[in-house]
Amino acid sequence: MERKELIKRWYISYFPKVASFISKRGGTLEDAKDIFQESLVILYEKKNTEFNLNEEAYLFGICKNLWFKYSNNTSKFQNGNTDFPELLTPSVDENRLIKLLNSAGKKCMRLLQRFYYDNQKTEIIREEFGFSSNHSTAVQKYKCLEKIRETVKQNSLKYESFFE
Amino acid sequence: MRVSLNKIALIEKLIFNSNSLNPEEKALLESYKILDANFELEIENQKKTVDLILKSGRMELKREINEVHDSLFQPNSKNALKSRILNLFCN
Repeated sequence: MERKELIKRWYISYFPKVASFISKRGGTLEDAKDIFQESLVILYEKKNTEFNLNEEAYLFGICKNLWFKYSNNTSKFQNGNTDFPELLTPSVDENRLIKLLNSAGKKCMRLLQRFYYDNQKTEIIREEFGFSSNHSTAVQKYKCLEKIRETVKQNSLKYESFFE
Repeated sequence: MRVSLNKIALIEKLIFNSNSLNPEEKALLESYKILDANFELEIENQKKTVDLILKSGRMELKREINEVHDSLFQPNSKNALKSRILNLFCN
């Protein structure tokens, strides 16, 4: 299933329940949107490593947790001790560096995201990118990593806060 | 694969799956550590590169989530989900 289709399915299946929970506690539509979207990212990342996850229970748990934190704190999504992971916002330098890496090699970045972020199998990536074999897919992965790593290295002084 | 790519693959194994390194790979890592003054820096750089790839993957996912939201909630669209959600917040 294409990722956007999966996101749409999650929206249709789970957003009403989350929105209802937040509206009953005095939250706004914007609060519900922010909390739901943040929770979808956490769910997606969890699902990449845990295949037998009860997604509805997990997602609702994250939403409740984020809501209670949001409503108890002045600053949204503060870090604290919880059972659920938190999303850290990239720093300004990280954001700049990511933009630079995307512009330096969008296809390479996409390929590497499929391997590392989506935790996708080599066979699936091979088909998606049209490589002839698993070996050539792996070779391309490491060529891309070499290229991106070199760009990161060359820019390490410019974006020094990231490298501290 | 050429030598530099094999080295990258070896560093990747060291970062993510060091328990699965075989004796030959461990010996190769040791020799890099002794002979290559920049090897530790290379490992650190690769960790940071992967970290940036993970963060960029997350940014891309957030962008897609927003696109789906916008498509479901665009001003002139009428769908059951949108009506249901807006009703919850209409008071």
